[in-house]
Amino acid sequence: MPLTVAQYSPPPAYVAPAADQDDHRFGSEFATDAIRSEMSQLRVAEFNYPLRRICRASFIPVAGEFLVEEFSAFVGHGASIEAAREDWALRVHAAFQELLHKRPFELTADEKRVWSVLSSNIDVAVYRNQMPLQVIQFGRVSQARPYPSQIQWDDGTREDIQIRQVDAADFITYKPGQPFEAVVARDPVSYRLKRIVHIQRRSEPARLSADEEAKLLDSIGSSKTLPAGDWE
Amino acid sequence: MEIFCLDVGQGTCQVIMPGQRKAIVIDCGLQNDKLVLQFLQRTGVEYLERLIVSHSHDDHIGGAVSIMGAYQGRVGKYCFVQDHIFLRSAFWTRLKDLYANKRITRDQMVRLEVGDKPQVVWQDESRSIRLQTFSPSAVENLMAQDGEKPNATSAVLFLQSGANRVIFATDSEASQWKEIHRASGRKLKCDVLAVPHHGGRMHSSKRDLKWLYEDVLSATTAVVSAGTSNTHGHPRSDVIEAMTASGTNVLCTQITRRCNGNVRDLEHLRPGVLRPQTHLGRSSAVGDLTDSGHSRNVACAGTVRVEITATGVILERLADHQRAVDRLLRTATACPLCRVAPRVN
Repeated sequence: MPLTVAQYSPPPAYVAPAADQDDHRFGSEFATDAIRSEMSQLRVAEFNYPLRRICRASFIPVAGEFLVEEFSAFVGHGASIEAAREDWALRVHAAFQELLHKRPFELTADEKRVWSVLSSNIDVAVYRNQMPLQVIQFGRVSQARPYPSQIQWDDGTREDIQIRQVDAADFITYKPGQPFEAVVARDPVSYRLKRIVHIQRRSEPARLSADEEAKLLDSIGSSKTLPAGDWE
Repeated sequence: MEIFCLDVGQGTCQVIMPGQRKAIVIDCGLQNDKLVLQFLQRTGVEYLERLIVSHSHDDHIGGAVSIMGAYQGRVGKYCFVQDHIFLRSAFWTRLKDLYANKRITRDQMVRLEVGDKPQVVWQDESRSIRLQTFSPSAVENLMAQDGEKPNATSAVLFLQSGANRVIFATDSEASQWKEIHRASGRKLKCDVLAVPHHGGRMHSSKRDLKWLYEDVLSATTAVVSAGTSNTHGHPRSDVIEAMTASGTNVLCTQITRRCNGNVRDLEHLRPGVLRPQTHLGRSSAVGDLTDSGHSRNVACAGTVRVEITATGVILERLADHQRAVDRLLRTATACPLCRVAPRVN
């Protein structure tokens, strides 16, 4: 079976308070008052959204609303401050991920407005540069002394690997020449291998014989089978 | 829709992004270069409608294998020209392995050639955007299998979106344009031309160049994909001259010594002095020198982003780039080919 990158299921959100402030510093003199705090980072599970500035957060107990002044497009709802804050963070997380992967020309007017709010408060370049790229790659172990130490990818390039970079216990048993397919986490800037997050052995790939190759070549269609265009 | 003319150094890659996390890749840059794959992933591309290689030279086909691995099961069709070195390419080896292991079907492989009319290689669901191939002809394709000049049978592609047009000329040669001109019977107008053969010789005389850029093609903007350290003399001054003489605005992905008084040290222009790096490109590497210590991968326009909107074509930060080239004219050694009469050839 070909590999697929595992779907992400969102774990609970966490909005970190400013470095010098803890949750207990949320407070007010009266029950009807908004409870205010500062927010220096936004983390949702393992994802860190680098904020450009410290933001001002408020929880309004009567309405059960969590608001952040700088993120005017988002309101979190919940009976408690924790629940409302988590709801808020998940809304930001969902909107950011949705819009991050849209091209600018695909954004509607509303989406442009939301993206403007998000990108003016979250440093998108820093976010992109810190999130590993996950690539499906095919290769084989090219060196094992005595454990796998080098991989040759199917484009011919070789890369050193350390056992601790592979999230699969039995990788240590792979012998030289063992073909595999893997999901590789790479640095988005340098493209260096950071981890192999999934790996599985594959059987030796089938190869076409010379006759089969010749038959295939003869049977490949040309673009003349595609719709005809014009010179306009 | 967006089109990226990627700064891959001395090579070619253009990526068309029609939206919905899809892309069409035309050529893949240098051998074993993962820059194109990195670009596709950073821009969130999940599916390749077409993976097109115009011919089998390494600077066009080289980066394909890593893309084929990463996008396995997520490529609509693989389009190629079967020239005489194709069967020895890593691209074909990988393609037939995918077929042998039942990961692709025969119908996903398409040999590019045209009949009496251009063929539609891809079109969007509404059929308002279409990519056609203009060359090679079936006869040229057949000759290519025994020939020795893959450039002379490179695919020529034509993107049309409403009134806007982009031509991807890859490494096509003058003979192909004569055939295209004969078949079309008209001057081909386009907003953006990805210049043939990195602005190099196309087995053409100066007269051929004049004819090509005056009678055959009419481009508002031309993008030359060339690497700083290339040893082929790309782009040639007579090619740039022919384009600018016909009123075409010329951009190059990287600056070469030919724009710097023939001096190979261009470090004072790095990184991306002419245009800050806003998109991934080979010239984003800082302090990248050849083994002999000469500059390489110094941005001029860098990766060029073209957006086709309902109202026309926008080249991102074009005015900034033009101002930067004009400023360069005031430096001691600089003589940008796109601005001044050529001093070297």
